[in-house]
This record gives sequence, structure tokens and C-alpha cells, in this order.
Amino acid sequence: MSAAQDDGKTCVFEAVGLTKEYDEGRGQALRGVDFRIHEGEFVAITGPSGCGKTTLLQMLGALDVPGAGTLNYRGESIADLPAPAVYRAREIGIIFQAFHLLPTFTAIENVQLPMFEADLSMSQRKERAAKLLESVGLEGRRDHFPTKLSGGERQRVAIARSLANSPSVLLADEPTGNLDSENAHFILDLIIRIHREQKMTLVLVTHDMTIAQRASRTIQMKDGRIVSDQQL
Amino acid sequence: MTFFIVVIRGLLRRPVRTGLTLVGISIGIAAVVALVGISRGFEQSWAAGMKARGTDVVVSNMGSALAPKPFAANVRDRIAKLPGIAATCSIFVDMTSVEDSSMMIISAREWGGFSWQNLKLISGRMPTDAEEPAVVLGQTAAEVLKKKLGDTVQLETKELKVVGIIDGGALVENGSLIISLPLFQEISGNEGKINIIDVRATPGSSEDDVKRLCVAINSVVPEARAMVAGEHVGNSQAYRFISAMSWGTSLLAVIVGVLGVMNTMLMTVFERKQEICILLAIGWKRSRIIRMILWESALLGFFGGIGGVLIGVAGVKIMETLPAIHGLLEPDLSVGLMINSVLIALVVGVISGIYPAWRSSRLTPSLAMQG
Amino acid sequence: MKTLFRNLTLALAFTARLSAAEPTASELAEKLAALQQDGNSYVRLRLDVQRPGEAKVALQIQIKQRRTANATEVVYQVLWPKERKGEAVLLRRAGNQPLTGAIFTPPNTSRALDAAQGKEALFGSDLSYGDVLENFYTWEKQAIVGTETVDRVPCQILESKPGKGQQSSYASVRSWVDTRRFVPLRVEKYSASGQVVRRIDTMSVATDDRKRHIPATLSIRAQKDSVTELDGSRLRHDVIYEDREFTAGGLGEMKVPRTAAE
Repeated sequence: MSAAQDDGKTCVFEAVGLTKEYDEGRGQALRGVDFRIHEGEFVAITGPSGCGKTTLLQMLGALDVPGAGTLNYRGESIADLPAPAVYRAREIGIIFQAFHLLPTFTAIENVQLPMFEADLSMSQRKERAAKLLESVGLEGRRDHFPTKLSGGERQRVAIARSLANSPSVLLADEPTGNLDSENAHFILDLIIRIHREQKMTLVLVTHDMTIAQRASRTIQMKDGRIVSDQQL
Repeated sequence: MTFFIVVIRGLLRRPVRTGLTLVGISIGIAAVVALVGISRGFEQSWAAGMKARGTDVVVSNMGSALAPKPFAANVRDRIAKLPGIAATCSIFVDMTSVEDSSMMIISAREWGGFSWQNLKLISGRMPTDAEEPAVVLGQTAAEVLKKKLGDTVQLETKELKVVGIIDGGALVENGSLIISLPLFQEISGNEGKINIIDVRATPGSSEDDVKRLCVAINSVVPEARAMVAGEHVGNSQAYRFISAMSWGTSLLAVIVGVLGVMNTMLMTVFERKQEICILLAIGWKRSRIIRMILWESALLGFFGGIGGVLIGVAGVKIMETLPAIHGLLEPDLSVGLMINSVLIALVVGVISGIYPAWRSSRLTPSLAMQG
Repeated sequence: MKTLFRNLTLALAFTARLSAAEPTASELAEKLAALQQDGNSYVRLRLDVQRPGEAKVALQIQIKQRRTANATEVVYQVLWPKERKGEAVLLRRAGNQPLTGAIFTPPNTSRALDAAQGKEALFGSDLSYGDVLENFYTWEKQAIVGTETVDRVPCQILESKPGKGQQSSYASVRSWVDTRRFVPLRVEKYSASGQVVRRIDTMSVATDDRKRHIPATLSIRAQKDSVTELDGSRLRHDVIYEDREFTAGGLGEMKVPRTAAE
């Protein structure tokens, strides 16, 4: 994939005039959104509920397509990707607010799930999942089912899962929304540490300004539009 | 973790429902195994009986009853004159209740006829002449009637001495009371009547020669029909009815199986909607989701098939020991039938999974973000 | 012309309705009576009697019958077991005359039977001598009193009551008749007080040598916990009998009849 360069920085995402309607046009989630996100950036998207931030994140993850406008990943339109699943598997890691671990699989098995789409042997999958769990401090909990893990531990497993195929972009949707403040702090630190260590692009959706302040850039949205875009 | 484990975990998510679905398919497949096994076994053992008697063509008048309708004994003379026939043997086969057993086959054979030749004596002797009030019992018949050499068997008004126990080489033979034709005709008031003529073609006759022989016999004997040995039981209305019933019931069982598995898999897809969306969101291809659902339903079919074969075989074995049936059944529980039954179950599983799999692949990954 | 056409249409419609309708009580009784009065026949059956606390008694029996509209003659002979072989009962009845007959016990004991013994049990079963002879479908009063499904077969309930001069130990008999095959699937016989004295259930139906549907297995209950089962294995018509076979003197002879030449 080729990408535009801005002052020597590679542009990962480029959005031009993005719109999205819902309920067959009765409502608009996005009303013309333009931005560029560069490699290695930590962008926090903030705004009140219903402002369109989660819709935007879904589009970045190829979970949804724009109604109009273009959204490119490294120069290629995400909506026209021939295999969006491959993009989701190899380029993107997603962290959900509600963790979304599969209850019938242990922690290490949950981490292995995305790896079925990578060319890894069974032993390689297991080895890599174990390392990822170790990196989030859960080496002792690898064989526990999600119901036996605390909220913070579950989100750490979800983070390990999002890193399964070494993506270049991490998308996090309110990753601390379901956690108490102590765990929220820990998880945020962990995500930021990973972003820094692995030089990953991090796009984090939150309505919590204290979290947004830790980002290198904050995009604030309201009623489907970007109202401010600040480098911190 | 392999993909197979992912599939198994899907099935174990609701163990009770999976178990009940398996029981449902198993019962359906058990019905297939038992019914088809029994009806095929009946036909095969009849054919084996014909072979054991050294018969190429059977002339009889199979009506709605299991025993054929009697006709005049002189019909044999008309057949014997035809070219291409090495030997004929007149027979009267009857099914009746004997002493305290419910249904027994009585096979009365022309004295000196070739149908006696293939009977292997296990103990005792053959009758000394056509008039000796004696009977030879097939080994199963002896067991059912609880008779040994020297005992007597009451047939209609006559007491007959058991002089020999034989191995006839086939179920029909082993379950029969074999006596001389003139003796039975006298006992049963059927003088001058027979209901089967066994025909042996001249040595070296091909299958086509035997078929041509049947046509020739049919042209001179309008009161009965000549059939290639082994085919003639298939000509019985009763047998055809049983056979149609067994296939009909099996088909019904298969349809019920399809609906059962489809219901389970649809429920699974509805229940696991969010899980499937999460798998799509973390990068699983739609084809992998389809494969997962199809494998789950195929496994349900496969294990249901194995369970069905086990239940079917056990059921038939239990049925064989029942006093009312003992000795009358020799089901064809061949490996082929078992493999076919499991394959049917597997196909049922896969077919039942197609719609749920298609439904699951239509889910949108963005739903994972909700809830 | 119009009137003629209308009348014709009405007449046709009426005929069509008639042919599709269920038979009336008298039609049904007539047909069932005729099925019993089927001339000479020979039956082979097994009779099992099960009384509470006793071992089951099984008998192989042959029945010779001459049944016409005017007279019924029946001989029951035990073929098996050995120790009872030869036991025989002759039962006769001409029109509405009382029952007569004879009982034979080997080697040569014979005694006469009269109407007073009509309620006695046949070979110790739940069937009485009277039951063997009585053709209640010829009784004067026949009525359809309802419909009911027996073993998933829809049946008409035919009630038969004896008329004047028609002697019976029963006050009425109800038959649950499968009108498609003309087979009674259940028969209940009632006393004057309305109590069920005997109940006969058809356990299986077969076709005979005349392609008619007949009960092949019957279960008969006359008293609590006791049951008699009749399991028929053969029914032949057009058999030849000698008159002697239906006399007390001929009861000691055991032979199987020949079928008349076709």
C-alpha cells in the first residue's frame, strides 16, 4: 500500500467528506468529516454520546462503510478493499469497551482466535499467545476462562488478543469504560506503553477528557462533525 | 488450539441442547439401521435359502400373504417338459402356528427332490421314506420349539417324530420344519396341491438363459409366476409393503433429523450472533464462519449417526432375543449399511447447517461494538 | 325443460350423497351377518388362556364350520398339547332354536350339550359356547349409536338387541365397526343391568383366501384379570365335510378337510 507523506510522516488514515446516515436517512451519524492520521500518532477522539465517534472508529476498522466521502488506509480506499477481513486481521487490532472475550475459550485460546487468519502453525500460535499474555502480565492466568477473570484482567486479555497478528494500528473504543478507576488507570498505561514500545498508531475513542489529555492529538466531535483538532 | 477445537467448543456451549439433538438424530438413524437392516436381511436370507436349495428359478404365486397361494401339483409336469431345465422340485411352504410357538415355516418337499440335497445333518438322520411320520428341524426351529431328536412335533392332527436336526445354510432353512411333501399334503388336506416349484437350469446356463427360462415358464404356467431365485420374495406384496414402510419411515426419520439439526444450528447462530460478529471484527473471514457452522452441524450428524448405528444394532439384537421374533430375523447389519447410515447422518448434518451457516455469514461485524 | 334439468340435477346430487354416505345400521348388520354366514370353512388357531397366578394355557385348535343363514354347525377340536389332543365340542343351532351339541373327551366319553349350558366356557377360556354360535348381527334391533376411534381407526358403534323369540344370554351387544374394511375392532356384550359381560378386542386384521378383511388376533376378557387370546394362522373356505363330522359320533375323528376342486 502506498501512502501520502506529510512533512516526512506517513499518512495512515485520510478521511475526506465522510458522511454516514442511519435509520434510512432519518438520522446522520457523520456530516462531512475530514482528517489525516499519521503513523505512530496517538489520537483521542472525544465528544458527547451520539456525536459519531464510534461510527468513525468502525469505519477505520472496516467494520462499517461510509455513506459518502472517502476514507483511505495508506492510500487505499477502505470501502473498496477486496478482502476487508484480511485488513482487519493483519493491519488492525481492536479493543472493545465490553472486552468481548468468547466465554467458551480460555484466556490463551481467546488470544489465539485472530491468529487463524495468519500463516502460523498450532505451536507458533500457542507460543505467541503465551508471550502476549506475559506482556500484559497474565502469564499465570492463561488457562482461565473469562468468567474466572476480573474486569481488568479480561481487558488485558482483550488487549493481548488485539495484538495477536502484530497490527500497525490499534483502535480502542472506550477501553476503560467498564472498569473502576484503578484498573482504568492501569489499562490506559498498558495501552500507551504498547503504543510507544511498538510504535503503533493508536486511535482511542473516549468521552473522558482526562484520558484524552494523555494523547498526542485530540479530535473533538459534535453532531457528526469535527469541532476541534488539537496537537497536545 | 486447532480449528477443530473451536468447532467442538461451539457444540459444547449448550451441552443439553447438543445432547438432545444427538439423541434425536440417533433415534432417526437407529430407525434407518433397524428397518433397512431387517428388510434387507429378510430378502438376502431368502436368496441365500434359494441358493442353499440349489435353485435357479422359483415358480410361485405370491399374493398379499407371506406364504404363496397353492396351485395344482401337475403344473410341475408342464414346466419339466421345457428345454433348459435340469431338474424340478415341488414344494409346499406354509406359515402356521406350531404347538406353542407363534409362527413357523413348514417346508414340505417332494420326496427325492433336489431341495433335500443341500441340507446338512447336524444330528440324526433324514426320513427313510415319503410316508414316514417324521420331520427334520432346522437348528433355529429346534431351538424355538425346544425339541431334540426323538421328540414329537404336532402338526395339525398328526404327531411327527423329530428324526434329524439340520443346518440349511440360510435363515429360512434353519427356521423351518422340513417334511416330505406327500406327508404334509395328507396332514394339511392339500392333496394334489403345491405352492412352489424350485427349478434348476441345465448346468452352464447364464443369467440371461435363466431369465429366458422364466419367460418360457410364464408362457406355459398362467397360474403362477417364475422368478429368478432370490428375486421372488421381492415380488411379494407383503415384502414390498414392509420394504416401502422401512424406507418411508427412514425418510421421515431423516427429515425429522434435518429439521432437528437445522433448528439447533439456527438457535446457535441466533444466540451466538454477537460472538460471530466479534470473530468477524477480529479478522475472521466469512468463509471461516461458514466452515465453523457447517463443521458443527456435520459433527452433530456424524456423532448422531454413530449413536444411531449403536442404538439400531442394539435394538435389533434385543428384538432378536424376543420370544415372538426369535429365529425369524436375520437382519443384514453389514458394515456397508452402518457406513451408509453414518454417511446419511453426516449429509443430514451438512444439509441442515447450510441455511444457518448462510445466515451467520450475513451478519455485520459492526454489531460487535454494540452491547 | 328448465324444471326437468333442475330435477335431474337434484336427483343426481341426491344419489351422489347416498353413495358417499355411511351405511345404515341395518345395512351394516346385514353385511356383517353375511360375512359370518360364509358356508363351509376351516380355521386353525392357537388359543391362549391367561388366568391370574396361573401358568398360561396354550391350545392348538382346529375349527370346522358350516354357517348358513338358516343353521350354524361348529366343531372345535384340540390338536395340541398331547394330553388334551382329541377333546372336541360340537355346537349346533338352527335358526332361533335353542343350542344343542356334544362334548367329547378321549378316548370315548361323550355327553350331550343343551341350551342351559350355553354360558359354560369353551375349553376353559373366556369364550362361552353361546358366543361361538351367536350371530348377533342377525338380531332384529340394530342401531348406530355413535362413532369412536379405535386404534386410530374411525368406527361406527352398532348396537344389536335380540328381538322376540331371539334367545341370548346378553341384553345387548355393541360393535365398533371399521366401515371401510367391515371388521369389528371391538365388541362389548352387556347384561340386562348394563354391565359389560364380555369384551372382545381385535388385535390384528388379515385378509383371508377370499380377500376379505378378518380379525386375525382377538383378545377376549370375561372376568377381571383373565384374558383369552385367539391367534388365527389359517382360514380356508370351500372345504368338503361329511355330515358325520358334525354329529356326536363323528367328534372322535380327527382329520383335516380337503379343499373342493376349483
